[in-house]
Amino acid sequence: MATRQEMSEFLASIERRAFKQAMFAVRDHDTALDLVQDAMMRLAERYADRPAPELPLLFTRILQNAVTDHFRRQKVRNLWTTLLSSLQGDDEDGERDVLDTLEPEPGSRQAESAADEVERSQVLAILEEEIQRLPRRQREAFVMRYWQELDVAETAAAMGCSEGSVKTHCSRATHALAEALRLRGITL
Amino acid sequence: MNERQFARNVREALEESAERLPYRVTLRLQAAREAALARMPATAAVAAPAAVEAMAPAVATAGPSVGSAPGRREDDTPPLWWRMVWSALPLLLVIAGLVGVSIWSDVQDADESADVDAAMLVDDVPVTAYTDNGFGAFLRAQRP
Repeated sequence: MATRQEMSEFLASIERRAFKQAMFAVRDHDTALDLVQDAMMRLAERYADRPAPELPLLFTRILQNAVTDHFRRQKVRNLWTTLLSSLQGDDEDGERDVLDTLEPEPGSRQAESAADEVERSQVLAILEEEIQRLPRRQREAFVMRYWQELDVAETAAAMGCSEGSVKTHCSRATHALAEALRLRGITL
Repeated sequence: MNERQFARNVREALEESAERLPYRVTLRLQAAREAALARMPATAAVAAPAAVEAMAPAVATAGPSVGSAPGRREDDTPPLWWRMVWSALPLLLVIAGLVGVSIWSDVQDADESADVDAAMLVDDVPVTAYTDNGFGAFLRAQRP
């Protein structure tokens, strides 16, 4: 049985990654946050009696099922509502602090690091964009295997497929991602 | 291409990206985590770590392992039989509607027959006349 401390530490360690994972699937900040919150609540409410080592796989499956249920509900929603929500842009810019836009003096160390920072941000944004473009099963297998570091058996259990399928999905995802980044001039 | 090395590089980049989440997102994630912890059962919240480790082998051997229960997803999704019943509900409603319409139609027919019978009984023509062949021939001859 996982203690409150163990549950808290586990949730703190995976919350950012879970949000990113949900974002890859649903491409909406608020929806991704809701899905992660629902998954956290279900885990803490119904599976607190499980040992701590089982929590990662359990949470992964809960989040996967939450995403699947989200898409099922979305199918029966009004079409124009779906189209409007898909047209909404990222509203992060509207919440950025004005002080963040202050530019450093040209040639200063701050300016050089700012340029590197912008470039790095762009690289990360492109990487996430290409991951989002992967076919769903390939993306899921890739993220679970290489980011969440689940082993092949755990990934197969979470995805509901065979271990061979997991390996195939991972291999195709890796090659597709590498090729997509190469075409955009990015080398990791 | 070294697949493992590439995957490691991607993982590092994704971790870095996750660290760069905006404050409003991390704040909401923290709130979500606290809300989830508040829902933990009291018995799980007070269990000591030593007791947890002592119970872990018993838990691992006593019940089914994660993902092994056939026909049941390892989360709060309703069991398969419940989902089948829920899926069959519209069909059951249609069948019930058809049965209801059939019963209502039978009742309507019975009412009409009762009306005809009542009219025959109160009519001036005696009921026995309707079974007389000669009377029937007379009625057919009277038709325009």
